[in-house]
Amino acid sequence: MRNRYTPTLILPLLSVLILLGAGCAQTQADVDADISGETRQDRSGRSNQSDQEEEDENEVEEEETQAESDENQETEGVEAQYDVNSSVDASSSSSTADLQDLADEVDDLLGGMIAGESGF
Amino acid sequence: MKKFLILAVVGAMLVPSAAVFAQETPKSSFDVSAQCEAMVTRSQERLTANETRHAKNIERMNKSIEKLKKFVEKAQTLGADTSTLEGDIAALESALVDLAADHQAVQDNLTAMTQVDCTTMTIEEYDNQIATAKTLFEAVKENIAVIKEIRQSIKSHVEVIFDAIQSSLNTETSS
Repeated sequence: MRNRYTPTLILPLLSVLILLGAGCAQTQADVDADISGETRQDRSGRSNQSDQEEEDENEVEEEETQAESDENQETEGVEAQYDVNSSVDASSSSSTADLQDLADEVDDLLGGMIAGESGF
Repeated sequence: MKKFLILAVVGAMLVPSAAVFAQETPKSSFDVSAQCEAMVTRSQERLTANETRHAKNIERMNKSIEKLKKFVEKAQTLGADTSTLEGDIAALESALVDLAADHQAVQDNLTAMTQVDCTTMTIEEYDNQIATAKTLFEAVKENIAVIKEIRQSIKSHVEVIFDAIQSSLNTETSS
């Protein structure tokens, strides 16, 4: 003997199940889509952040390079000034040494003046 | 009376001694001719020796003046006041002229001494020749002494100039 309520119950239940399945599938698709969008956005954000960091690094490098260049220029300037001063000092030292030589030679020359004797 | 006797004895003892001290070369034993010949020979020797020495002295003075002028030039480029040293150079140049003149007077006299006639020369003439030669040579010695004084003056002035230059260089270095 067959249950007389069976067809009446089965059809709505199937319908409900189908609807539920469809709803779940849609929800899952939305969730996937959301997740995918977030991931893209996240990746994009990361990419942007990476670009910014790279730019920052580049700027830092440029600043460091500029600072190094400035420092080199300053050092070169100081060295050039030192070279000039050294050159001036050496020149002055050489000049005074020349003067000292001349003075010594004059002193030796005049110190060697001999009067001699009359011989009588 | 005793005092008179003592004085007389002492006086008698001193008279010969005084005579001995007063005694010079006995003129009678002085061979003027021989001494004159020796003088001529010595004069010839002195002429040559003086000329050699004078040439060296003049060379020394000329070199000194030349080097001093270079010194002045260089010192002036370093900003030093060299007026005192320039005065020394002028004094040295003047002394050079005097030395040359005094030397020439000595040499002229020596030349004359080499040409004397020793057969007729008297003692007085001989003495005068020797005295003149000594006097003229004293002028040369005096001139050399003046040059030595100028040398001392140069030394002190050079020191002052060096101090001024050093001071100037120190000021430049500190600024």
